[in-house]
Amino acid sequence: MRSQRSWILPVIGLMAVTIPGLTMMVFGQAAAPAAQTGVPPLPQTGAAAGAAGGAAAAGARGGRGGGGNRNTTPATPTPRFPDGTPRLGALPGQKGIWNGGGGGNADVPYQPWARAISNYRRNNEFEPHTRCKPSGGPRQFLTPYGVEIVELPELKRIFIMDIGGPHTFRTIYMDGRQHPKDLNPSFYGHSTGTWDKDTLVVDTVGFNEKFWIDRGQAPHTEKLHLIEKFTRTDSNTMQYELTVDDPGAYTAIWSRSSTMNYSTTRNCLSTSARTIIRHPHCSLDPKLPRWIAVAKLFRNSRIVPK
Amino acid sequence: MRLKTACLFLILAGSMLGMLTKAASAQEGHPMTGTWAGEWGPDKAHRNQVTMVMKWDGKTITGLINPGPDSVQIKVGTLDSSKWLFHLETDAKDPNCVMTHFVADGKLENIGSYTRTVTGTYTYGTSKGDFKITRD
Repeated sequence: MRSQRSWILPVIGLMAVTIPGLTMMVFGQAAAPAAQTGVPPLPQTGAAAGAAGGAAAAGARGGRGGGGNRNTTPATPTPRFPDGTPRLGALPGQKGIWNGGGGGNADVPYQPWARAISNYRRNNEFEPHTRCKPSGGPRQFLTPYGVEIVELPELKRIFIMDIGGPHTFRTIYMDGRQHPKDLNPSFYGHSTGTWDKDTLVVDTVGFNEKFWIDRGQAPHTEKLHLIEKFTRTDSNTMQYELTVDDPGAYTAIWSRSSTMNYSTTRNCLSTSARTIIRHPHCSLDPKLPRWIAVAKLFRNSRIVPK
Repeated sequence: MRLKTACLFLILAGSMLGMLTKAASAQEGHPMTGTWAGEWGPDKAHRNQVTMVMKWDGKTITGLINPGPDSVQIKVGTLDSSKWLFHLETDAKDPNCVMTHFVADGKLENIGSYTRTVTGTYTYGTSKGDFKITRD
């Protein structure tokens, strides 16, 4: 009997050793040397975030899921709608996702508490994204497998769908509306967009404090006001400029920029079979007009938690 | 042997639960923002319940002590983030309805937890005591 059970202890021991390691790989937020030495941390670029480990890095650096995401097709001029407005999403009948935006270096003017919290988070915390909380602001563009931008001119709305993590989406209203006065704070806030020549300018307020705005552990408050500029310079490239105004966490307005790369080899639908089953917003019915298909899918998809 | 195996299993399950608990929380926003509840008093026999609603306005901590008809506005609220020391000052009526200055100093602990705590001491006129509040 003793010999029959002799395998139990080694197996338990092996599990005890491997499970913590696997957990750290899955949640992947190793303490950065900068934080350990007391150097103020900067929000990481996609590449730097990848170096720190974590699933989100895969999409940015072309790892699993993001594998092959970098477009290998030659760049062509910026695709446009018939009225000349740049297309940020896929052409009809095609597919594609954006990778690698949202990062970039910046000299972040932290308030003292915000700097201390950032260091604390870096050394002690898993970010909310690891528990499938929606990632608002620039953090959305650092989710694994990139994001898909769906433009619906007929509805005057643009949707940004993150593919990894919680599979939620963000709505940008293009109909000229103003921000509501009494916003209920949410993960994605309230976004309005306007075109400045070939640049989409998105103004967002109404964030809650339940997410981190980037992989650099930068804190924010409900006073956060973001201005993002999207400029598709050719079919494969988009410049992303971010301006952060949060008098609750920073001593000044700060900005940074990064470049997103387009991949036509994947989209929401093709990223993973599991995704299609679990997340109906990724299953656009090609037989229906796109706005009907999206509306139908949104009706069944996950509501963005408040 | 069976007991030993069971003990090992419990240890393993406990460590896994601990890791999951760790993953289930994350620090959010300013650490003092939120609703706090606790008690204060001069000794263990004489305790008073307290509820505090605090908010970071970008420069100071504002808020109310015991929201309701007899609420008290926080006059000075600061957090020294180098040591996570919380300081609070206000004026409140004592049992004799005399307006009395109240000063509390405490240390913020377990920052990453949603139910983080502040533990410290206070002076209320001539009386002194301790307090502990926990974020709800």
